[in-house]
Amino acid sequence: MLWLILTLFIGFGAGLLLRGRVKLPTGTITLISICLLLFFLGMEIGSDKELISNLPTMGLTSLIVSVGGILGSSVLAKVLSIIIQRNKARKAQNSAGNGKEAIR
Amino acid sequence: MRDSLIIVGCFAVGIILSLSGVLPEGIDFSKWTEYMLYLLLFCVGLGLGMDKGFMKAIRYHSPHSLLLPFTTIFGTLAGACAAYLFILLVFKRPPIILLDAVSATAGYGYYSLSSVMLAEPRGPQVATIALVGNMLREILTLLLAPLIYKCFGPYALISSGGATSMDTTLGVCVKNCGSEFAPLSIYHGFFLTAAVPFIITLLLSLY
Repeated sequence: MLWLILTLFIGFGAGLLLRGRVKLPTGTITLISICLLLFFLGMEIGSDKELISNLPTMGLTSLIVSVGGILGSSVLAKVLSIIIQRNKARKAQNSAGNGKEAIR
Repeated sequence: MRDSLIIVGCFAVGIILSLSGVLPEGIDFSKWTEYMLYLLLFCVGLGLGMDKGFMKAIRYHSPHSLLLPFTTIFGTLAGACAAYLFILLVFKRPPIILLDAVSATAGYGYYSLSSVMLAEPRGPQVATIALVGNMLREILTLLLAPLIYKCFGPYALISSGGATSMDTTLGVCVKNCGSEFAPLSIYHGFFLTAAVPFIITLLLSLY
């Protein structure tokens, strides 16, 4: 696991060094490496007979779990946006009320 | 969307090739998957290092909105727990345990990394749920973006994209929320992409 994170940092360092010197189509390179990864992952999954026979159960479980994740994060993000709005409104109110406070 | 289709296509070709039995027996594909993961992480790092935009973009957002990655992390974990109750209702014998469901959603759309990280310690079943579940998160965000925006607002749409809010789902975020949300979306995706390996390692230590 440490090596994985280290690889990410090595790539990041290489990117910083190369920045402004060469133009690389990093998006395309990343896409190709994702494709290769998923291709081999597909082969791994396809050669697992037990897993393939369980696919309907797995698919439904995945759907439930991912919808749960989306809804959970959306609700909490909504809470955050309400807090941000309220803060903005309070700030606006404070700056509008500054004149009165000065008289008091 | 086109990229997602290409990726799903590669995945499908891999499955079909190995199911068809054309390939010689006895090849250890998990080793190859691991090598490809190193290649991918190097490429992602390279892309982030070469990208000038996001470091600048992080600066000009209000301090509160910088908390968005954290609400995504905890909201997703809470959502996974709620979803597990649903799984218990649907299946008489649930295929996974609660911690598996939580770990699977902790990819935040980063399906390649999360599934490979879970494959060895938790087995192919959990890895598949992580892969398909996180892919579905990306695909559902792309497809339901206008609906999520309408129901929960701009922050929720970025949050729903998870780690993909800086690349795959960035387009729909900008299209629905406006371009002023692009920096926040990139920051959010970057933060989560970097956090996924740490969060999954942490969750794996809880087993």
